[in-house]
Amino acid sequence: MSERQHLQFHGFRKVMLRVVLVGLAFLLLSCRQDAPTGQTRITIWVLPNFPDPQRDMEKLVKTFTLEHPGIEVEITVLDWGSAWTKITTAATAQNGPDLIQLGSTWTAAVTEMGALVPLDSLLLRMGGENAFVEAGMESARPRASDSVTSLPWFLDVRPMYYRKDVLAKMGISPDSIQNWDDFVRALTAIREAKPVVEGNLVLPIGYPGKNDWNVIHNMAPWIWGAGGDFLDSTATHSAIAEPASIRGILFYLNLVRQGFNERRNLEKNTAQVSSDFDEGRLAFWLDATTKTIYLDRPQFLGGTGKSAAARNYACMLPPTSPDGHARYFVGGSNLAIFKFSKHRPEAMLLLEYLVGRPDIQQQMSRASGFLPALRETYDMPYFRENHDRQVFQRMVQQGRAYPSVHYWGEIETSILSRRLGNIFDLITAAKPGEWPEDKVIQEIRATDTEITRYIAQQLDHSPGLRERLQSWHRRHP
Amino acid sequence: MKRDVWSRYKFPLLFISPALLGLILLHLFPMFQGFWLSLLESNKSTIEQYLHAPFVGLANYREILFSSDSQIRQGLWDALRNTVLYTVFVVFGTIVLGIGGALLVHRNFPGRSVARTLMLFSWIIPSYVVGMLWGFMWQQEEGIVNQLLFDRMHLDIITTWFGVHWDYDTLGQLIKPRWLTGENTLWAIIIPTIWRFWPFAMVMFLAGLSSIPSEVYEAAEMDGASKSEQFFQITLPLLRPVLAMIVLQGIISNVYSFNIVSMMFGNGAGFPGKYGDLLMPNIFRNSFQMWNFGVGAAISTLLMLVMVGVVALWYRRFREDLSNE
Repeated sequence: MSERQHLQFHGFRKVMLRVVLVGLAFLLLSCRQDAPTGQTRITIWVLPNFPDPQRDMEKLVKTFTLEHPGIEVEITVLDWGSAWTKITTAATAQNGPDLIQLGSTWTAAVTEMGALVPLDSLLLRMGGENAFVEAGMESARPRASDSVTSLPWFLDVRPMYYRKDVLAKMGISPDSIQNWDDFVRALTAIREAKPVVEGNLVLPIGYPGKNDWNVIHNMAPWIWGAGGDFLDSTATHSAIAEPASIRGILFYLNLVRQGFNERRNLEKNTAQVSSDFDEGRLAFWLDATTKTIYLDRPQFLGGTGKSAAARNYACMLPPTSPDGHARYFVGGSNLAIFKFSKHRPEAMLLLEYLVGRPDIQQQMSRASGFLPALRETYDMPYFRENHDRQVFQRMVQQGRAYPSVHYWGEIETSILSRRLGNIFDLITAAKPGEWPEDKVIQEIRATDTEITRYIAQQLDHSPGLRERLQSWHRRHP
Repeated sequence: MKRDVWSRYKFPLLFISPALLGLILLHLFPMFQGFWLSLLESNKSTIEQYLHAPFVGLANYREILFSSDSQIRQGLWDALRNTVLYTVFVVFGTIVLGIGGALLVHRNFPGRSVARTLMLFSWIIPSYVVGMLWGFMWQQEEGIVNQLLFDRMHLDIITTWFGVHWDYDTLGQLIKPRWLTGENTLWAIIIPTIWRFWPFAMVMFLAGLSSIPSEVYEAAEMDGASKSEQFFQITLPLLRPVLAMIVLQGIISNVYSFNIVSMMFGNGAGFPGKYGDLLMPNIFRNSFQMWNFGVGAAISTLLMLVMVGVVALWYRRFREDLSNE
């Protein structure tokens, strides 16, 4: 290498080094983007609650930012599949958003991790627990906690959708379907008559079997309706193998046995069976209230437009058991503030705005189809003057949530979804004419053993938890 | 001398240092952290303490290997059996189809480039999409697989000639096979995986075929070797280095397979059943979804050790093919 080449090479190295350093500096600076001077930026993580999750949420907080010009709200929409991992990572790493949406069955677990700010004083300012629907408050104050650690944002119930035209054709009045016996009579009539509407053979009912989070929510009202439960009242033992619980499960499964729900639906997920209803192939269908948004929307906005189902659907209360038990599943989501938030006062303001104002609760409900958790909202004409929303309101009032204990999530997602999946496998694998009832009951008993054993392990791992749960039970006999 | 080496190579060393740092941070550090976690009682109650959770020594390993009550052992042996079968069938199927495809598109014919591109199609689909798509395709009545096989091709009638028995319902309708429940589930995950990965093997074999000099075949032809003799005596032995890499890649990626099973059975919401569960979804469900991080880390460590053994066996088998001499 000549001296000139050597110098050129050294010059090249210096230039490269500078390029690398300047690049790194830009990279580091771009990692943090501050809010404009004088403004506080608060961050909120939400789930896809709306048809257009980001834009609809921005619309929802628009009034807040106008009322509080010094606060900027940064919205991040998480995907349901990864949300739980991201939230728990944020909670343990103490690094994440100020405000967080938690599925109602997640609040107890995140509370147990000591990651949430107590909201008792905020709740008091908003009128106390009575300001909110009772089932929503179950998850807001986890059983093992002395404090309210989240506030219910919206509720999710599963009414029974039905085809008015099909029932009219059968001469069945929707009001006549009050309990399980009435329901079976209506289903039998449809099964026998095999009605064809607009070229579609309408089958009595459909529900999915596995591969879906909704499987357990779908089964809950039948178990509760029969007087059974998933856990006992202390939430320390399984109750799923109690005779009443088994009766509820078997009634639900018998809808397949009696040919009201086709076996092939059991290998589908909710979206697939739901589209069968949309396309006019089912007379009854249990689904979330969010479905009304899609049924009422025109096709160009992603709805089902003027399909036979969209033109002829209505909602009713799911039937009660013959002895009159009616407890409906209530899920939904809460809002909470992480303890590590550096903007607690601002986060509290946004929380109060989202959960405590009837106008904003109604706006959220209109956009998402979910139901308000704030009682006062139901006095508005939007709810009072609509038949279906009156049905939803009754379900909310008579509904119940899963026990708010930190180990419920694992019981639901890991044990129940697997074991109930096994039950549906037993049914689909059975030859036509065969019904594996003994094997189903055996599987329910195995589920019972596994849940109780799992809870015992959790109680052993968490000192004082058993006492805290007993204390809750004494206060709520 | 050392100074000379440093002054001579400091610039290249500077450039490879980020990669080295990345390797340490992203591979070695988490690996040791995972091992340390496997010695701790790390669960929901202690997760806040993270790496300072109570030290329990080998208790997590004992729980996996000897405790029949352990949550982690729910269906573990089924998952292990399925994983072995799944890996063997997928690697074998991928190699057979890969070699076949490579031989086909190695020949000159009009539209060869288009054919090569089209054959890569399934490889470019993300594995989670493959899982979801095939989940729909396998459905008993409405899935396209049964519709093609039985409604269009009437496979039931054809196979009856060879003595295969089919069940019919009371109305005389064929009861089509259920792919998503029972023993068939294993095929429901094997076939899409082969479908997804065989183009990769084809590309690798094609590269291998291109590097074999044509003179070798000309000499063999002059010696009177038939096409099959040329394939078994020349092509296959000369493709062994490529074969070695595909076997290794196939074993590792299939033992750690997660996406296809997870997506086919409800994105974690469902249970693949006794014949569809693999080790990774099983470990994920029974340890990490159950907040049993210590036990989950222990079983992952055990699996890693088994895989080290498998890779050592592989290396012993293919060592000569991988050396330059």
